[in-house]
Amino acid sequence: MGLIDKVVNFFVKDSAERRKFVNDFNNKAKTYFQSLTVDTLLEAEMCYGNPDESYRHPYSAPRIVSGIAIRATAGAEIPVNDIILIGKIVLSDQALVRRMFVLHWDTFIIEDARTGKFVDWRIKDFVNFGGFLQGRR
Amino acid sequence: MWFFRKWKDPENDALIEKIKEEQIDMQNIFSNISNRTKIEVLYKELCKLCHPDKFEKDLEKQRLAKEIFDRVQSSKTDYNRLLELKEIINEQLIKGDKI
Repeated sequence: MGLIDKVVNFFVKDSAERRKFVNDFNNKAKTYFQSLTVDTLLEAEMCYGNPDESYRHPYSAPRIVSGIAIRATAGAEIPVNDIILIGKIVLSDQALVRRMFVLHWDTFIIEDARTGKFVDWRIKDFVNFGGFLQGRR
Repeated sequence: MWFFRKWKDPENDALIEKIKEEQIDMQNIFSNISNRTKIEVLYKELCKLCHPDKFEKDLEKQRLAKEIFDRVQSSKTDYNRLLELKEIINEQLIKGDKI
């Protein structure tokens, strides 16, 4: 795949897929919050990635959109310990992590929008391709 | 930026397409998020119940305990899986002891 294909792919195809991923997550989060499956309303959003170079991987998007944040916007407040726990739960799902990786996100953030407390993780640390993809630099 | 690097690798591109088509079990993720406090408690309980050091005298059981212990470790954020493992521990490790 050449340079032009890559640029077109990113701005047309992958951007649509990234928005679809975020919208799907938000719709499901809303459904589960309304059906009382979860006690907090979570909302995913694309955001600025961590400026630290160690967060970048070969598929990282431009930094301005390389982060994905999940914010608790309503319901019970989440202490930092729980933020870490929620992050671990989400990042233990390999299918989800792999999808975030190939959709060019490199920073995963969980934040409580009410308190402003947040924790971020390097997505590349949690993805397991058995040597595929990560090695390409 | 990644798209300034030119490469041709149909194998990796096929892998990416495959990953994009993978199904994500959102219900399981949200159920785990809502059970997050229970997960921690259950995980610690199971680690105690099936720790291989508890079965030093019975080598066969120790091997089984190690196997289950590894499975508990690898699914420490999955509430439903931990519940399944608890049943397995009760059936295969603890029940056997009482008999």
